[in-house]
Amino acid sequence: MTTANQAATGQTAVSTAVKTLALNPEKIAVTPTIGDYHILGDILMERCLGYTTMPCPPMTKRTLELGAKNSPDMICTPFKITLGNQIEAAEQGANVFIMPGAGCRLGFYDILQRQVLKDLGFKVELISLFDYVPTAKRLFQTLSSINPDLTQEHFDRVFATVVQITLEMDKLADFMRRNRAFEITKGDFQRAYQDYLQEVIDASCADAAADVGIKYDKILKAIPLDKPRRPIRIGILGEIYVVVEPFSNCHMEDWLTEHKVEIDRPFDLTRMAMAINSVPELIEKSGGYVDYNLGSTANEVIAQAHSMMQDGIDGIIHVKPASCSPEITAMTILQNMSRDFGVPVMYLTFDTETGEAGVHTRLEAFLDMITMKRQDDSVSEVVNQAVAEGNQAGINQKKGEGY
Amino acid sequence: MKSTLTIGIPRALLYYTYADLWLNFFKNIGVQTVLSPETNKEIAKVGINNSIDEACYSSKIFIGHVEYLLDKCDMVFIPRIENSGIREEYCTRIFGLYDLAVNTFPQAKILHAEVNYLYRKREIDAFIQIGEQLGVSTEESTLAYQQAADLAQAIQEERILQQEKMLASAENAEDFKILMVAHNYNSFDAVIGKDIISYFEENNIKVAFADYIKTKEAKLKAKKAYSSRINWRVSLEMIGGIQKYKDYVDGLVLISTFPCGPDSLFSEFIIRTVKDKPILSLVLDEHDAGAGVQTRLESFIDIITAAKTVEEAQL
Repeated sequence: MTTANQAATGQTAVSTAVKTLALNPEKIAVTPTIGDYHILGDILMERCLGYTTMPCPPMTKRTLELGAKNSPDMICTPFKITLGNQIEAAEQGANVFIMPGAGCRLGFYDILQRQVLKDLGFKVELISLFDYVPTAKRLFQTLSSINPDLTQEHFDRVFATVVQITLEMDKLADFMRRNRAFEITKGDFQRAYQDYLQEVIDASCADAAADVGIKYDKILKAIPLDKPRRPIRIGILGEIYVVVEPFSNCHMEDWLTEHKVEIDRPFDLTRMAMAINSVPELIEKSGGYVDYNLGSTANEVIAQAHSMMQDGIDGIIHVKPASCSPEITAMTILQNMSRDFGVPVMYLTFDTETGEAGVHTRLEAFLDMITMKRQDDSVSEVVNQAVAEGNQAGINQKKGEGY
Repeated sequence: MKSTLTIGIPRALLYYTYADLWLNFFKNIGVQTVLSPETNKEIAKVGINNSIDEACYSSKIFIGHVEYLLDKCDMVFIPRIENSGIREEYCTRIFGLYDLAVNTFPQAKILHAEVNYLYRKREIDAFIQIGEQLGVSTEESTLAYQQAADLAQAIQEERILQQEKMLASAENAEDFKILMVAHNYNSFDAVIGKDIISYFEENNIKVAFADYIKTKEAKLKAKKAYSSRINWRVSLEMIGGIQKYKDYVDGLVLISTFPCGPDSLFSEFIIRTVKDKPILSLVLDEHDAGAGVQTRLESFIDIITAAKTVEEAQL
């Protein structure tokens, strides 16, 4: 990956089969942080447009403050955080930002962000990748309107690579979340996963990316584990940005991992891309709780929650940014589901003012409650069994008396 | 066999857009309807108690109206309207209303049908479905819908015409005028916008409404002024209306309820881009006290009066 500094000193990325474009040092592109997915934006920018990429400045309290200060109050939190990212990156010399430009309110972020950045006096370009329709065709239209030399064939190759990387990344990360709490040497999974990200970004084509994926799949699966037969299993569901970006959810997954919890978080970019096109199927899978599309990813949340609860999960944490309206609708339905299935659900709302300690206290209480509930359940299972046996014995005895 | 059911219509959210269509349709097919009263403190309170506290105030009020109707009718009419045409979408709260009501009041009987032009589910199809559920033939429903839709359109056009006349006429040239930029379910709700409108009228200020505009016209104006990607119908109408009426008025009044999704973006956008008119932005929620709002209205009236005096002095 080429940073702005390297570009300035004349170093460009190693040229590979797809990286045929010479990078333009004048255009410094930044993808706002969202989990590890920014590497996908970087690949698109470098290989389709020939822009130099710069990693987004790490998120700090200042990012949140800058974002919140320049945003409307009622807007959802991802707007504030990404705006903070953009302002900090612009201060460090970035001049191109990419945003998805599709989704619910997310689709309009860039319209307002462009105005805010202009009012702040930054001369920057905002690329909205999808312009309302989240399809590969529309992505090609957007990119080729910026770079007229981009051919369909070249784009298809780059896009296939991006898709392959997304699939592999999500698969590895899911395996990691389920097992990270039980690694024998602390940090094994994180180290391997970071190595994977470093290596996969240089994959020149989809096949190369797949090879890297297979290699690291083996490495991750070989990490020695000490996993109990039935660990506490907690599901995380909710709005995609807060689910995926650890900074925005106060590193919730790290905390749960430290407390020996298996995390079931099926929600990632792969699932999100699938969810957009399969709302009718999701409605079918939601067990009669929902009849229509609720907007954004709310239907995915309901369907996931239903399958998790049927699966006998110990508890679910529903996360969302403040004022996320599809998720607020989903909450009403989750409450009913939680009551019917007897699975506890905790609702967490994250904003720029949310403190880490407060979240951790609530997680701790939730975990305690789940642990106690499981003990109760196993006690009552034993009791029930004993009662059943006793009844049977009683019946037998009565039968015996009768004779 | 025609049904003898009574259909309840909540006076909230989409009612304010579709009142003429809905009421006339049910009248035409001869089905009795009962309309919930104007929002009062009691309805609002029940709505708040039955909603998630983070939901928007307008949707809490809606839930209050549904609850009011539960024991006064056989079925509550909550159609599920995702959009009114391509790129004319409603917000996600509005299109989740049916599922929200079902999950809030599991015992409620709800009359519903889907309007979604993305999947070729037109408004007329929805009304035929509604008719079927009430034992009305397809022909009769179609006719009833056509009549009601024509009437509703004529009424809306007349409203727009009246407003254009009012703003352009020389008679009113001396009067102060303001443009109300708000969703119609906020402007006309008794606990949200109604008092604000009557306050302006008491002070001899004429009130025009940004959303008195044809959706097609609004779309064109919004596209020209901002972006073709804006696809929320309620926001389109507000932005298009501002472009259309801005030059005839002395100030803009933005009213939204907490926390409104579309407004959170576009109110800010309007404040940042409309620089030549004074703007008052009010965000209301269930904790509002009348006095605070009144102070802000008074100071806004002072501002537009002063602005006009300065303008005249410069001339």
